[in-house]
Amino acid sequence: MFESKSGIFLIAGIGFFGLAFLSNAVVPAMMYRHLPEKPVADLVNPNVRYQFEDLAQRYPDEFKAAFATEQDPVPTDPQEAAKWYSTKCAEALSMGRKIYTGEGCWHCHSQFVRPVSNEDRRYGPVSKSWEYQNELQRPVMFGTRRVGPDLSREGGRRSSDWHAVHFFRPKTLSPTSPMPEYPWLFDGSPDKPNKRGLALMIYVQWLGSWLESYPYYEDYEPTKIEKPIAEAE
Amino acid sequence: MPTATDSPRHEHLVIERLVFWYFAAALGYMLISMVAGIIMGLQLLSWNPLPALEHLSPGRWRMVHTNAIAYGFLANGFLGMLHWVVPRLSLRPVLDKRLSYFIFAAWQIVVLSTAVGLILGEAQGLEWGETPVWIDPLAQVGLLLVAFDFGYPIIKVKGPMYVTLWYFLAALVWTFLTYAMGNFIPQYCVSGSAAGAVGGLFIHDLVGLFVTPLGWGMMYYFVPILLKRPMWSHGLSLVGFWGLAFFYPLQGIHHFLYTPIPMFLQYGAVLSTIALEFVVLTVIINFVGTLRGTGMACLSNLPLRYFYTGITFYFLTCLQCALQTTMTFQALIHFTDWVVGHAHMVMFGVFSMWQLGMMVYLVPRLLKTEWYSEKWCYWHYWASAGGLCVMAGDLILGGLFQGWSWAALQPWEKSIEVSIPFWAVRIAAGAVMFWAQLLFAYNLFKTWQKSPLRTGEETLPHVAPATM
Amino acid sequence: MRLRVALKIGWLGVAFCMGCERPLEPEFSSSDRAKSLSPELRKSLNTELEEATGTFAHPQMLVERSQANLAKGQAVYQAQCVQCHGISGDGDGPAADYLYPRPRDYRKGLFKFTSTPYGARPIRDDLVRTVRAGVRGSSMPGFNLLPDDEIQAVVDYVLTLTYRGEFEEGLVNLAESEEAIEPDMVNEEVLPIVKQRWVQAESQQVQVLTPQPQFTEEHVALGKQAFLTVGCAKCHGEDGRGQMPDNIGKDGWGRTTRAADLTAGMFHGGQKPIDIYRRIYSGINGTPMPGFASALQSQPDTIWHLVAYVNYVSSRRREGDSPPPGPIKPYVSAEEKAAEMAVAP
Repeated sequence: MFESKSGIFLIAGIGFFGLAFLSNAVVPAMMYRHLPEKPVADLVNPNVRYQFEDLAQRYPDEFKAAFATEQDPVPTDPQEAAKWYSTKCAEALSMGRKIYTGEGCWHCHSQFVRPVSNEDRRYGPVSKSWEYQNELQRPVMFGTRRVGPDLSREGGRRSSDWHAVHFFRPKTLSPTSPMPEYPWLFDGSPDKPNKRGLALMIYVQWLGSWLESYPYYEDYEPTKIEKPIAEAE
Repeated sequence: MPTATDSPRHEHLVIERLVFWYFAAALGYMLISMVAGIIMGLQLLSWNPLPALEHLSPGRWRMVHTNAIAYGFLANGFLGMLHWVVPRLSLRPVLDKRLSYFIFAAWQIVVLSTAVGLILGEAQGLEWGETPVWIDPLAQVGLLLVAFDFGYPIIKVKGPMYVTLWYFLAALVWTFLTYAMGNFIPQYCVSGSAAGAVGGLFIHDLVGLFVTPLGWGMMYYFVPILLKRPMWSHGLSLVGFWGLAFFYPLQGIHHFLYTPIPMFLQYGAVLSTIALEFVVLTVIINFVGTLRGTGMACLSNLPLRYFYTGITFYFLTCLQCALQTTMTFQALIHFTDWVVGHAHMVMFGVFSMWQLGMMVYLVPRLLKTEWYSEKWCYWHYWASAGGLCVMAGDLILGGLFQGWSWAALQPWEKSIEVSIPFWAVRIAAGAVMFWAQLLFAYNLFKTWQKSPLRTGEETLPHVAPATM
Repeated sequence: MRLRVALKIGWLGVAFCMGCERPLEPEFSSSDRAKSLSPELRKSLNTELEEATGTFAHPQMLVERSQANLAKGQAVYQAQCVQCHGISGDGDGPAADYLYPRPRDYRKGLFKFTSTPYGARPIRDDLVRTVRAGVRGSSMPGFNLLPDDEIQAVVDYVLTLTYRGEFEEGLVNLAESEEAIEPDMVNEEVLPIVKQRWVQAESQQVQVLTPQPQFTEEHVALGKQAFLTVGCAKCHGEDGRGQMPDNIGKDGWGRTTRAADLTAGMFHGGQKPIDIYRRIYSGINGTPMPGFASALQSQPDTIWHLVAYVNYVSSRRREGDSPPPGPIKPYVSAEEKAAEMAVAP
């Protein structure tokens, strides 16, 4: 058996591989059955919506060119407008994730906070499984190297204009940063992000926006209000 | 067993031209990969000469660096090696020679379009599987064809097979399955932590089930030939193969310790990693045992020197593996340059050294002429091995400093500041290694130029094709 | 031989690069008003200024502090702050043009997020707090990982720049009114005023009028009522988003500003109840946000109700409630931006 073709082919080749796949992939997948994967549309939470609307006010012309084109302007009806912003934000998130992947951001920035090495003090709450059960984690972006800091709680820590200047030329803000420059996310100047730039900014602002402590984790303490009041007066 | 008279002749078994093409392509990708590495290394020191060009972005070229080594250099080198070894061991040609040429062309298209896709920013978010999603199915079909092409002669072998063929047979199956698992499952089937586990399994299996078995199969073939004696212990060969086959794939998750992946799976991965170290030890003992009494051969025989250097590095990396996957150690060194140093030691120190040694041995036999300059081969050896020693040692040490800086909650800039000297040494070592490969490629070119295959002269009588 | 040539070229290259990158020795610059003075006045102004506050190479604190380590403070400032706040603290670093709100110009001595009354200078701890926590929702990050001695040192250096700016402004005023800068007048009129404002602030920290209650929904409801009646809604809007057509104004630095979106969940001046209390009580220096200290003098509890309501509004997003976008208008209109760009050198 140990030297026969069928032994090697079936036991070592397929059998052991299957065993590893079972224990390393099927088992965790089964364990997370109860955490359904969220589609992108469900990932647009009120926090990231704020950031998206912030981009619309910060870079009005660029935002219009990228998202509110003539064929698809912002609706005037408030309800419709809210829906429009959510839809566009989801689109921007998907695109942002694609750029984050394509530019190789994830090779220098991890997206998980470990329970060791004082990481919860540096970055915020330790990562939990449910945070990764969504479409923008396909494939998951844990990362394996940190030349730059972890980004899984980066959203909201800095405003989008900071990110714009930083993407355009990181050394402008962090003189010792080894991060490469990304001027192709802009039309010539850090205050003119193009669609890719806006999408990447919103993706970064989204990171961690699902946490209650967004974006306050360092000193955030919820102010207790006994029983929230009903919506209307 | 075939007798001497009906034994097929070497010329009918091996498509030598194709072997050489594969080697040339492999070296080409090695150079591309190293250019990419140097771009990234310069960027870390803020010395990138062309900082703001989209298609030269270090972030994108970083992925070219790893992919060109895995799929360009190593895969091409191995395919060339398989074309030499498999028919000679099984005494049968590959399934179809036209298919072999087709595979060669198709594989170059796969690797080139991967590189182009990465440079255009089309990467898939899977480490070492950044191949854009639209290439994955093509690559998968290619791997299937490879499995058929080489699997056929192996399956046709009558009676017991030699160790090398165990490894190759398993590797053909594993490579196909690993690629499919890594490139499709996290993209289309599962997400989140489970996908992370699959990703870890993929990174790991790519080294453990594609590169390692092909590499060891190669060693089991070439080392006894060069030493003109059989392996020391067949029993240890068996233990080595089956231990590797069992333990290696179980360790994927050790790349993502302390993630939200369930803790008991992480412990399982750590345990099997440590267990594998004992298996590796048996393999190392076997190879050292084979060398017994003729240790000087390592000095006098150049290819053998490459091989045993690689074997030494293999021992070191596996020892390192067993230590660094412990939870205590991971807390400090994960995410640091330690891991990068480890990866270079494995991919360059072990597998690239083996392949380069194999090329040093085979190229004169393929081109029917001596190396243009044997001295340059020695230079290549010393610059490659020396450069790697410096680079790996430097990065491993630098990783410790980074880990300590982070744990001490220093501001991030401090960890960059402390890394700068290490990165400077790394780029210097990398430049030496790059120079060595350039020299090797130039040497290969000059050898090809004077080859009788090209000039049309008679085969030089004193370089006979290798015998088994 | 070839190697030697290559080495030579390499050395030349290294020398060339180093020559390129050697930075010029930075210098403090003059304010626009100081630049418009006549050359003689400017000269005597600069003499006075240097004597009191030093130069970039040898800065001095106008209001001295025994533990101050200005060399260390300057090193931290040049590494972390100068990119936005500029060498002289004029809020005009290389990144400043692309940021909204613009980085603070220290030279007026105005700081937004203080624990002192409207118009007063901040106390030192206010600046320490801002450096540590950052200004959430703006481009000012928190530097909480810097060691404490570096934070203290950089705050001293920021104060040095601030004193210098204020002193310079005093000198310009003097020059414009008296057409001369005499040392006596400087010592009698300019210096004491600048110093006094800072010394005074130390004892002026706003304390709560009534202790903080345990917030209940009742407080929130009362707060909402007050929010609509006291005048908050006039700028912040009834929903707190500030998406009102006329929510636009000028700040003390002559820049466009507007009332904050309270639903952002990010308070520039800190999110603790006491931070919000002081914002309502004292207003925000240099902005149209007034203090409600006198308006609410007779009903001190109302401030806490407002705090409760503002807190409630700001945590709605965390609870999954996305307020409607409203008209969404640019922070800075295109015309204004063009005008600003035209002014910039």
